[in-house]
Amino acid sequence: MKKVGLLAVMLLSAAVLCAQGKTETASHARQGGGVAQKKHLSIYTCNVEEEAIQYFEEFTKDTGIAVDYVRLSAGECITRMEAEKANPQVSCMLGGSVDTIVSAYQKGLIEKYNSPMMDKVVDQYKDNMDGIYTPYSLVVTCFASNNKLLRQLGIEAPSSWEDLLQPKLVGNVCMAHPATSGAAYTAFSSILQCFGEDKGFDYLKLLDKSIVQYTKAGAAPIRMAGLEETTVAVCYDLDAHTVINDGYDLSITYPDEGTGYEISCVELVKNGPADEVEAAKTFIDWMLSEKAQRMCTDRFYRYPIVKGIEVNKSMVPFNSIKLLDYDFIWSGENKVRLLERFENEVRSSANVLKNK
Amino acid sequence: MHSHIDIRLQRKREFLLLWGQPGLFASIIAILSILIVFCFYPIIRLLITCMTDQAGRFDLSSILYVIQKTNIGSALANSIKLGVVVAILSTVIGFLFAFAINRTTMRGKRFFHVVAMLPILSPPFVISLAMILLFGRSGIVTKQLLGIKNHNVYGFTSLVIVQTLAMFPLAYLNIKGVMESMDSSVENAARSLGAGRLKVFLSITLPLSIPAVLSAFLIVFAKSLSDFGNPQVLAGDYAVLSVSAYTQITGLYNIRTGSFMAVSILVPGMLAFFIQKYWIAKKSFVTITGKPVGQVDYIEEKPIVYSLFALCILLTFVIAMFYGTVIWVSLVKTWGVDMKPSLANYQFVFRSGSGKKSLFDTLLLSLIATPITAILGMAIAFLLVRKRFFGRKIMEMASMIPFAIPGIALGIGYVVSFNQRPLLLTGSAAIIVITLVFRTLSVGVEAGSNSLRQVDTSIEEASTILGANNFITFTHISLPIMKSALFSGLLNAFVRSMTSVSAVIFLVSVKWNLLTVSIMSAIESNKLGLASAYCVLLMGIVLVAIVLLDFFMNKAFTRRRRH
Repeated sequence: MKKVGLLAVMLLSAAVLCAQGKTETASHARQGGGVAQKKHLSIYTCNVEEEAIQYFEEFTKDTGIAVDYVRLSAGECITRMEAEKANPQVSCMLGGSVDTIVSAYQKGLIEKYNSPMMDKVVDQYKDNMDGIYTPYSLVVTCFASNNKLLRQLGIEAPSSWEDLLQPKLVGNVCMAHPATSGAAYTAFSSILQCFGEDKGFDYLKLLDKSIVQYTKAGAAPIRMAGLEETTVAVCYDLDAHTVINDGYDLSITYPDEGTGYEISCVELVKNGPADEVEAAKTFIDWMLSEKAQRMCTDRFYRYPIVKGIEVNKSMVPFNSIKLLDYDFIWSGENKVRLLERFENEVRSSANVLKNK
Repeated sequence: MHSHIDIRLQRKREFLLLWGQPGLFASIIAILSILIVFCFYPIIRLLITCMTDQAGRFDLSSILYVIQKTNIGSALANSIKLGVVVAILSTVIGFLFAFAINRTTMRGKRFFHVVAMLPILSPPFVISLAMILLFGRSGIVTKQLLGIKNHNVYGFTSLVIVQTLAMFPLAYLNIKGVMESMDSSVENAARSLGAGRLKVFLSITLPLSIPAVLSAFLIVFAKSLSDFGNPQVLAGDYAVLSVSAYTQITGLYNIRTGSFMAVSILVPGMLAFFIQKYWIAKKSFVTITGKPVGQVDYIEEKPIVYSLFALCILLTFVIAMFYGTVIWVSLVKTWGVDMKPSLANYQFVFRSGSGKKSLFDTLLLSLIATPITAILGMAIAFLLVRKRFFGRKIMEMASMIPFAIPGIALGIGYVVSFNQRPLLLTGSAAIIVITLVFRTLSVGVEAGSNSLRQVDTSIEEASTILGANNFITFTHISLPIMKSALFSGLLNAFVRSMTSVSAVIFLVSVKWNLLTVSIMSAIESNKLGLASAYCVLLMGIVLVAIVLLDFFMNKAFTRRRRH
C-alpha cells in the first residue's frame, strides 16, 4: 500500500517537475525586453485544420520559421486565451472575425500590431481600430441549396431573404444557432441590419417556421444540405464551396436584399512568449503576401483582401454580390442583448406553438 | 446508545490505529493531497472565477444573471430527466447482459462480452452521426427502408437511444465484476432447498447485486449529465445543461456564466452520489468468505436462456448497425455522392504528418495514464472499503468530481489552476496525463469498491495475521480479488483516455496534440469519411489493447479460474 501511494506521488511529482522545467525558459524570456528571437511560432487557429496546415507549411518554406499549432473552434480559442491570460501559451491566433477579436481585445487578450503590409489592403476593409486586428480575407453569408431537392419541390434556388419564407420551404431551411456559431450570428445580424432591428425580428419569427433545426455547429447546415437532410442551408460561401468540391450537388446563391460577411483576421496575442513576437509579426505580414492571398482564394475559396489579387474562378465576382454595410461594432456590442431577444421573442413563441 | 463520547473514542482509536501503521498513514495523506490538488482545487478556482469580475473583485452578477436570465432551470430539469431515463435503461440492459453471461449456459458468451464493450470504444459524436445517417430525414432506415419522409431525428428519444447505447457498457462492466466474484454457494443452497429460479433470483442474486446496480446507475447518471458530444449533435430543441454551458462559454465568450452552469451539474450528481452511499452503507454484502467456493449452477432452462439470448442478439444487431455505418462511411470517398469503396480517407490520415503525430501522442499519453489510473483507482477503492480514517468521505467525493462535471468546465478549471507557479503545468504532457487520470478515476474506484465489498475481510485478516504487511496483502489478496474490476478499470482508463474530447480541448498544446481534436476538426469541416476513418483507427487500437490486456491479465492472475 505504502509503495503504491509513494509510486503515485513520485510519478505525479516527476511529471510536475518535468513540466516546470519545460516552461521555465519561456517565462524567463518574457521578462526581458530585447529577447533573442526564436525561429519558432506557436499558434491557435480556428481555421479548418487542412487549410491552416497548408499556410503553415508554405510559411515555413518561405521564412524558415517552424510553426506548432492547436486547432480549436473560434469560441474555444478565445476561452482558452482568457483562461491562460496569466501566462499565454501562444503568440498568434489565425482566424476569427472582427467582432470576436474586438471582444477579445476588450478582455485584454490581444496586442495591437500595425502591419506594414496593411497599405495593400482594399481601403474599405482596412483595420480602422489602430491595429487590433489584421484582416486577411472575406467570407460571405450565402444560401446553399441541394439541387435534387429543389427539383423535387419544383422551385428555383432562393435568391432573397424573402424567398426563404415561401410555403414550399417550410421545414426545409437550416441554419446554425446564432449563439453557438459565428457564421450563424453573422447571418442573424445581417438580417437585423438589412431589415432594421424590429422588422428583422418579425422576419425571424416568420423564418422560424421554415427552419428545420438550429444546429449547434456552424458547419452542420451545409452538411445537412449535402446529405439531403434539408433543402437550403444558410452558411458561409467558403464552407459551401468546400462541400461542393467534395462532390455534393449544391448551388450557391446570395440574397438580393444584401448579405453579411466576415472579415477573417490574424492577431497578435498579448504577453505571448517573448521570443516569438517577431516570428508572429512575420507571420501576420506573410498572410497579406501575394502567395498567401492566392492560396486563400485558389485553394480555400476565400475572397482575397489585398488589392489586385484575382478571385478563384469558381467563385462569383465579388462585386456581383450585394453586401450590406455590415456594422461589426454594433454586432459585437449588442450580441448578448440580441441573442436574448432572439431566445425570448422568436424561440419561445415557436416552442409554445410547436408544443400545441 | 451512540453518544458523542463514543464517536470521539472511535475517532481516536482510528487515529491511533493509523499512527501505528506509518506506511498506510503516508499513503492516505499522499492520496488525499493529490486528490485535493487535482479534483477539488480546480473546481474551487473555477467557482472563484465565477464570483469575481475582470479586476478580481467579488461580484455575484454572473451568477445572478444565470439564475434570472438563462434557461438554467429547464436545462437542469431536462438534463436530470435524460440522466435518469438513460441510467435506468443502461443499468437494466447492463444487468441483463451481465446476468446472461455470468449465470446461464447461453452460447457465445465471449462474443457478447466483446460486443458489449464496443460502444465505449467510440469517441463521442460518432454514434450520434451514425444515428443521423441511419434515422435522419434521408436516413438509411427511415427513408430508404421504411419510406418515412421528414423524420425528425433530433430530440429526447434519439438522445436516450444514443446515450443508452454508449453508456450501458459502463453498467455492464461494473455489474459483471461483482457477479463474477459473488459466491454462488448461497444460490446453490437455496436451489437444493427447493427454491425456484425466480425466487433465487429475487431473493439472492438481485439483492446481492444491489450495490453494483446502484453504483452502475450512479455512474451512468453522472456520465449522461456531463455528456456534451451527443446532445451537441442530436439534442435539437431539447436544451440540456452541458450544451447551454458550452454555448455561454464559446458562443457568448462568457467563462463566468458558463462555468457556473457547468458546475451546477455537480448538484444532482453529488445528490445521487450521497443517496447511493447512504443506501449501501446500511447493508452488508459479503459472499466471498475464504471458505471453499461451490461451482456456479448455470441456468439451463430454455425459456430463460433463449429470451436472454434474444436480447443479446438484438443489442448486438443494433450495435453492429451503428458501427457498420461508421465503418462504411470511412470506406467511401464522399458519403451520398461517391459510394464506391475507397481507402482515400485512411491514406489521408497516414499521409498527413499531424495525423500520424497525434495518433502517436494519443497512444503514448494514454499508455502512461492508464496504469496510473487503474492502480490509483484500486488503491483508493481498497482504502475506502477496508480502512476507516479521517477524510474518507472527502477522498470518495473528490474522486467522483472530475467524472461528474462537464469536460469543458474541468478543462477551464485546470487551465486557470495550473497556469501559474507553483503549479505551472499548461503546455506540458503532464497536464494531459493528469486530466486523463482524474477524469476516469472514479470508474475504477467504483468497480474496485464493488468487488471488494463482496469479499469478507477474513482472508485479508488471515494474511495479516500470517505476517504479511499492508502492501503484500493488497498485492497478493485484494488485487487478485479485484481482478475483474482492475481489468475494467484499466480498460476504461485506456479507452476514455484515447477518446476524451471536451476536457482535453483546453489542455492540448502545440507540443502535445490528441487525435480526438483532429476528429472534431474533420467533423466541423464536414469530412465525415475522414472523421469516421479516425474513429475506426481509434477503435482498432483499443480493440487490440483489450485483447492484449485480457491475455496478460489472465497470465498475471492464473490463480483465478475463468467462467
